[in-house]
Amino acid sequence: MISVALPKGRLGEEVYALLADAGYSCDEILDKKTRKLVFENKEHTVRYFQVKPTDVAVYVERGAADVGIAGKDILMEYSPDVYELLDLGIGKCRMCIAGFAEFTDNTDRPLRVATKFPHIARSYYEEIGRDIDIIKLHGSIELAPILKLSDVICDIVETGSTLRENNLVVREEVAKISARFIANKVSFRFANEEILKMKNALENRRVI
Amino acid sequence: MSLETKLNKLFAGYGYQKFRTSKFEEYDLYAENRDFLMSSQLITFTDLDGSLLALKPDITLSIIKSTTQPRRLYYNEKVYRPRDHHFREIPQAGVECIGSVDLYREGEVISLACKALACIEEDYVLSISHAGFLKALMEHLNLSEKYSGFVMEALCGKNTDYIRSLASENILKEEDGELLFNLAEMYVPFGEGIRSLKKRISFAEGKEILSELSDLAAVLDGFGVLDHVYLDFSLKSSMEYYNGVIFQGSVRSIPTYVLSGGRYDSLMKKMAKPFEAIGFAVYMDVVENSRSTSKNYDGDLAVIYTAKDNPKLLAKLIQALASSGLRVNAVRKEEFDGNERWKRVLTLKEARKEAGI
Repeated sequence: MISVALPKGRLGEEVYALLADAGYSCDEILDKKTRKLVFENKEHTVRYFQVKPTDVAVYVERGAADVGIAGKDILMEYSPDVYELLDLGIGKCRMCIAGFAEFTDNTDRPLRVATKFPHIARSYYEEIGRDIDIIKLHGSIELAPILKLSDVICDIVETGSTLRENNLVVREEVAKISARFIANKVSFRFANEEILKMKNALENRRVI
Repeated sequence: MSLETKLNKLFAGYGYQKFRTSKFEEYDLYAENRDFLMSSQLITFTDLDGSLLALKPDITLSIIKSTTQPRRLYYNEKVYRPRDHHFREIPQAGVECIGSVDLYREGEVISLACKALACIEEDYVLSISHAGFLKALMEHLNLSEKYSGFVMEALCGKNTDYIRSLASENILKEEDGELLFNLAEMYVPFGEGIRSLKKRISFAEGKEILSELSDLAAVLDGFGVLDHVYLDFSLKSSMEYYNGVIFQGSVRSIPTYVLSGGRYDSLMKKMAKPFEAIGFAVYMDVVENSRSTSKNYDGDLAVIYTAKDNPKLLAKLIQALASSGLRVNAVRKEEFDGNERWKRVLTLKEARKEAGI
């Protein structure tokens, strides 16, 4: 039995479709009305749980799930001690620094950066040697420069439409993001064959 | 038998001496070797003579400090480290072998690590990597510091896609990319892994290390543990202190590593000790925390009594039952709330009948 932590939402659904196609189906999970949290298919020796996307890595790192699907943004932000076995090539977006087009950085003082990803922002600016002041927010990051709470934001950009509607532009790209297939390090040892089998099945079906 | 007792018996059985130590150490020892510790945060305090002391966050450094001649030691002590923004007292057991560490000694210590894992659970795996091999490999690849950091990270995370992307951007030569891809993917029985690598490695230092490792495999076979040992280049470790084999152990029912160790000649040199050294630590706290919490019974037998019962008779009865080897206790009737779990619950009368008193 291999347990899989799936992120709730569209990404989880896309990954489930790949896994179902590879022979790991569990039809119960498609029932939108169900309140169940754990779905098991004994015949296909697989068990799924749906968890908050930011929690997937925690479940896998602590071994509650053998494998899981997590965005590269989450892996970069929290650096969980897990194996990153495969880039699934879905859920693609970019981690960017965005701000007003007319903004010019004033190096006299620290740059104020609003973000949900303080660790990513910190290490990006450390590498280019720019002192910053991090403003950690949990949502509506685009609001921060508009209200002059921050100079720029460090956030995920998918289509860029939210930025455009708020007159913001991408100024720098920090990293390319996509969904990753991750595994617990001890499970990788004791359920090696099963995990590699699932990895190969996903690898054959991914679109890169 | 508790795990601590089992480990002590195991290590003593191979002629290792128990190392006992106080909880205090001079602060300077840690200030000089900050990088060796996982965290630089220590519990410090001033001694009555004004010198600065710390509660030990680590046993290895204290052992090395006090070493003046070759010795083989084991310990079962408490260390004090930060965890989740608070200091914790953490039990740790381990083995250190200091002196001339030849192939036999190296195999002996790694085998002890295997046998220690078997004390925790029979289904265990010990993964071995080699810090010197990885260092030589990085020199051979001749990458910029930035990229060698990324490559090491990719090896640790078995991130084969990243290595492939470096090869496709021509940052890695094609054959180097293929080799790294293989190393990242690698998780194979030790002997088999070395045989397959020998055919692929071309740089001299790497070849030399592989031939040492295949001799090591023979020693591990001699100790009867080779079947549990795997070659795996995803182990994280400080390259500054470890210079030879590094290893980590895990058991099936615990989802994180429970043991880690390696060859640390570089640390010995840094501390100006003219010896080689290898050792490992068992994370007793991880093992303890993952033990199943549902204890079946508080004891074998509860004898229910009231204030009216004769205390002398009760004492005699409990004494007789306890000396027959039962875990037994007398419980006042009004305090018996059913929360306590006893295999059997008897009234005083029933118990007297059973004990023949």
